[in-house]
Amino acid sequence: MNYDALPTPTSKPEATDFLQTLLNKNLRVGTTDGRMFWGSFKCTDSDCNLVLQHTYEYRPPSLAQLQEAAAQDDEAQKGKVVMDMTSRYLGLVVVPGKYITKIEVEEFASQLKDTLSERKQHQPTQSKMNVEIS
Amino acid sequence: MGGNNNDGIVAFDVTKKFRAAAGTLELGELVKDGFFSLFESVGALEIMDPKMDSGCLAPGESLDEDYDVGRGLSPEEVIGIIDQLLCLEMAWYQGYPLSQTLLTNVYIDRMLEPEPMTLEEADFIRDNLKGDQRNDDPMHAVLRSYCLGLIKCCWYINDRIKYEHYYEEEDFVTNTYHRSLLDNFDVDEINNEIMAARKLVHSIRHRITDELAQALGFRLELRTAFLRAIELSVMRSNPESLSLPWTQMKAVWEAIYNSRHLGQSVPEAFSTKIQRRLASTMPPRPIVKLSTEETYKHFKKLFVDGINVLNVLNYHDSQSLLQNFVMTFQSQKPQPLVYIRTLLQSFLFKDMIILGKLSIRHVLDDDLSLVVLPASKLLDPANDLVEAPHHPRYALAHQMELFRQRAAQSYLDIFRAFCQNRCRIRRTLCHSIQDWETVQVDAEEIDQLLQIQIDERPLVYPPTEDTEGIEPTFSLPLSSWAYLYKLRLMEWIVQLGFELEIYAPDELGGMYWYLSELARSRARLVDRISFFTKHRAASQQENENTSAQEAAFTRSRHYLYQTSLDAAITWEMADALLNLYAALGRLGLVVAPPRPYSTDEMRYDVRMKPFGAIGLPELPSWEEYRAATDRRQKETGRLLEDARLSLEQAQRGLEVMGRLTEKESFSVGCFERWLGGVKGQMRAVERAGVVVEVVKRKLQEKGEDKKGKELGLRVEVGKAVEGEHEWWVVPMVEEIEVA
Repeated sequence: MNYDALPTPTSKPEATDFLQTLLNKNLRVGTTDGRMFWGSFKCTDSDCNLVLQHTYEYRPPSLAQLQEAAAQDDEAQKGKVVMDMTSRYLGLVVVPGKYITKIEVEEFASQLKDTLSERKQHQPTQSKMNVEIS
Repeated sequence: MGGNNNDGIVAFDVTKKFRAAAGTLELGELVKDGFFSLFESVGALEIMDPKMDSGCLAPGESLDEDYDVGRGLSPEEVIGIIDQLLCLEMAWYQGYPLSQTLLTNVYIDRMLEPEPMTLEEADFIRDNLKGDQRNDDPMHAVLRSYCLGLIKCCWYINDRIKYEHYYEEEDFVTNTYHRSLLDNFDVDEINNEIMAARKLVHSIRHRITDELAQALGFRLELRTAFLRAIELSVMRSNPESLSLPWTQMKAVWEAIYNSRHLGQSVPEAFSTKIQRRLASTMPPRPIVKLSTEETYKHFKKLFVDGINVLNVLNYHDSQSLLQNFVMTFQSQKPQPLVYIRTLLQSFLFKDMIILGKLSIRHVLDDDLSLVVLPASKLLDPANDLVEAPHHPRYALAHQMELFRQRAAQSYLDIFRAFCQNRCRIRRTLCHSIQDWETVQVDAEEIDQLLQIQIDERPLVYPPTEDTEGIEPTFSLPLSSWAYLYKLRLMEWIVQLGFELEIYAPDELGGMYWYLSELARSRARLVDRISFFTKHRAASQQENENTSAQEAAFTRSRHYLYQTSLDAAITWEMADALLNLYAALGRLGLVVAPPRPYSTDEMRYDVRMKPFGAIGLPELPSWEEYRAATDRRQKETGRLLEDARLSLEQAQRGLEVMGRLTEKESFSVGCFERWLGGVKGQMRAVERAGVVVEVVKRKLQEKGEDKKGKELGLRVEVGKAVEGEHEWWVVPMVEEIEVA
C-alpha cells in the first residue's frame, strides 16, 4: 500500500481503519533521544503509545565513534561518513507517545503497484543506516 | 530479523497521519491486534523509563565508556582488576547473570565486542593491529591473557552446565547476551598466551619487584590450572590424576588471597553501562558485589568440592554411591556450586555410562544383589549365554532384562534428582514415588513369573510355631526392592521437608509421627527380606557354596542390618520428637497461629498430597493422624517420659551406628561426611534429651495445670540448630522469669 497517497484520517472510523491496516506491520519508531525501534506493531491508544513486538533497538553511533571513524576515512573529507547503527534485541516494548518523533511503516516494494519501487535506495535498512555529519 | 538488505523494502513516513488517527481515539480506547492480549504487554519494557529501559540515557550522558582501555596500567592496578574479576566470577557461579558480573568489565567487553576473528584480535586495544606496533605494555599483555583464560573458562563451564540438568535462573544463568565467549578459539592457543604472560612477568620481576611479579604469577597460574581441571574432567578416569589441577588451584588460591593487599582497585573499569549494548530484555541491574572474604570462602569451597567430587569415580558398591556419596555430598551446607553438581552428573551419567566405566546394568545388578538377591541365580550373568528358548535360564535372563528395562530409568532418576538443588530434590522425589509405585506393581508381576521358573518354595512369614491355616508366601524379591526404594523416597521427602522448613511449628509433631510410621514400614520390610535371604542362604549352603557367594550373603546381611538400624534410629527419634511436640503443644508452648480460612483436616489433605496417590503404605486417615498426634489418652508427664525413653533408644542405636566401619556402613569414599551426619544426629538427640528434662522439671515445679509463660519457659522452633542434623528440628528452650 502506498501510504503517501492516503488522506490524513479525520473521522473516527477512518482513523480506526487506518490504524488497523498498520497492525502487525513492521514499524520504525524514532524517539527523542535519537534511537530507533524496529518491531511489529501490536497496539496503540489515544496518547499514541505504541506496543511493538520482537523489537530491535538501533542507536546511531556516538559522537566519539563518529569522530574516530571520520579520522580514518578519506570520505570524511567530503563531510560524509558511512557507519553502521548498533543494534540489539529487546523483545516486547512500549514506546510512550510523548517520546515518539517519527513513525515509519515498512512495505515490500514488490507489493506496491506503482513506481515506488524505483525510489532511490537511500532508505535505512534494519541493520545499516547512513549517517551524515557536516 | 527480516530482509537484511535494502532491496525490496520501502518505508513510508506516517508520523502525522498516525498521530492524527490516534488522536481520534477515546481515552482508554485501544486499537490492537486480536491475538495480542494486554496481559502480555505487562511484561513489555517501557522505553525511556530509566528503571526499565537499559538504553535510556540521562540528558547529556553518552553511551560511550569514558574509560580509556589504552591507558597504562601499574602492576598494582592489574592485580586490583583481576581480584575484582574474581569476585564477579564467583557471583556468576553462584547464579547471577553475566550482565551483572563479568560483562560489566570494560576490558572484557572490548575484547569480545566486536567479535574477534583471530586470537590477536581478542584484545581490548585493537588499534595496535593496524599500525604494526604491537602493544608492548607488559601489564596490558598480562591482563589480556588473564581475561582470555577467564573467558574461556566461562565458556567451558557454561557449556557443561547447559549439557546437564539444572534450573535456568534458579540455579544458574547461562545467557551470554549474544556475546561469544571465545567459543571458537582453541584452549591450547589460550594456554600459550597465558604461559607467555607468565614468562613475561618473570622477565620483568626486577623492574616491578618480586612481590608483585609473584602475585601476578599466582593469578595467571590459577587460570592455567582451572582450564586444565576443566579439560581433564571429561576423562572420568582416575581421580588422582584429575585432582592435580584442583589441588594446585587450592594451594595457589591461598597465595592469591594473601597477596590481595597489593592490588589497587580500579572501579572505573567496571560499569553497568555495558548492559545497554547487551541483547537483553532485562531492565538495567546493578553490579553484584561479593566481598573479598566471601569470594575467598566460596572459591576455597569450590576447589575442595572439586577435589572431593572426583572420589565418586572410585566405585565400591551401589549403596555407597547413592545414598552415601551422592546424598552426603549434596547435603553439605552450603551446597556445592552448580558447576560441581554438573560435574557430578556428568561423572554419573554421561553417555549412559556410569562413572565412565560401568554399565547401568552393572550398578543395578549390584544393588539388587546387595538388597534382595545375594548370590542368586536370577542375577547370574551365565543366564545370558543360554540361547535355547525353552531352557529355564533363557526365560530368567529374558524376564530379568524386562525388569531392568522397567526399573533402570526410575533408579537412575533418584541419582539425577539428588544432583539438583535441595528444593528441587524434594519436588522431584514427590513425582518419583508415583513412578516407583508402578515399578513395584510391575516388579511383582515379574516376581510371580520368576518364582515359577526357579521353582521357589513359599514360606510362612512371619514365622510362627503353629503354621496351620497360614498361607505361605513367596519372597517377591524385585517388588520388595522397589518397595524399599519407595519407602526410602517417602522418608526423604518428609525429612527434606524439615530441612527446607516447609512445616509450621505446630505441624512438626505430626510429620514426625508420619516419618516414624514410614520408618517402621521400612523396618518391617527389611525384616521380611532378611528372613527370605537367610532361608535361601541356608538352603544354598546345603549345596556347595562358593566363597564369592558367601561374601555376597555377608555383604547383603551387613546392608540389611545397617538399614534396619537406621530405620530404628529414625523411628525412635521421630517418636521422641512427636511426644515432645505433643507435650509442648498441650502446654501452650508451641501455639498454632490463627487460621480462620481452613480446617485442620483440609490442611492435612494438602500437606499429605504427594502421598495421597500411594497405595502402599496407605496414607493414614485424618482421624488416625489426629489421634496419633494429640495423644489425648496420655498425660503430659507420660509423654515426656516416653520421649526420654525413645531418645535413649536412639542414642544406643547411634552409638552402634557410629562404630560401623566404612564398608559396613556403605559409605566408602564418603565415610567422613557420613560419620559427620551420624554425629549431627547424636547432637540432636543429646539436646532433645536436655529439652525434655527441662520441660519435665518445670512441669513438676509449677504444676500440671500451668500453661505457656506461667511455666517459666520460652520455646523457639525454627530449623535444625547448626551442628545438629538438619532433618531433626529440636526446639530451643529457654527458662524465663515468671512475671
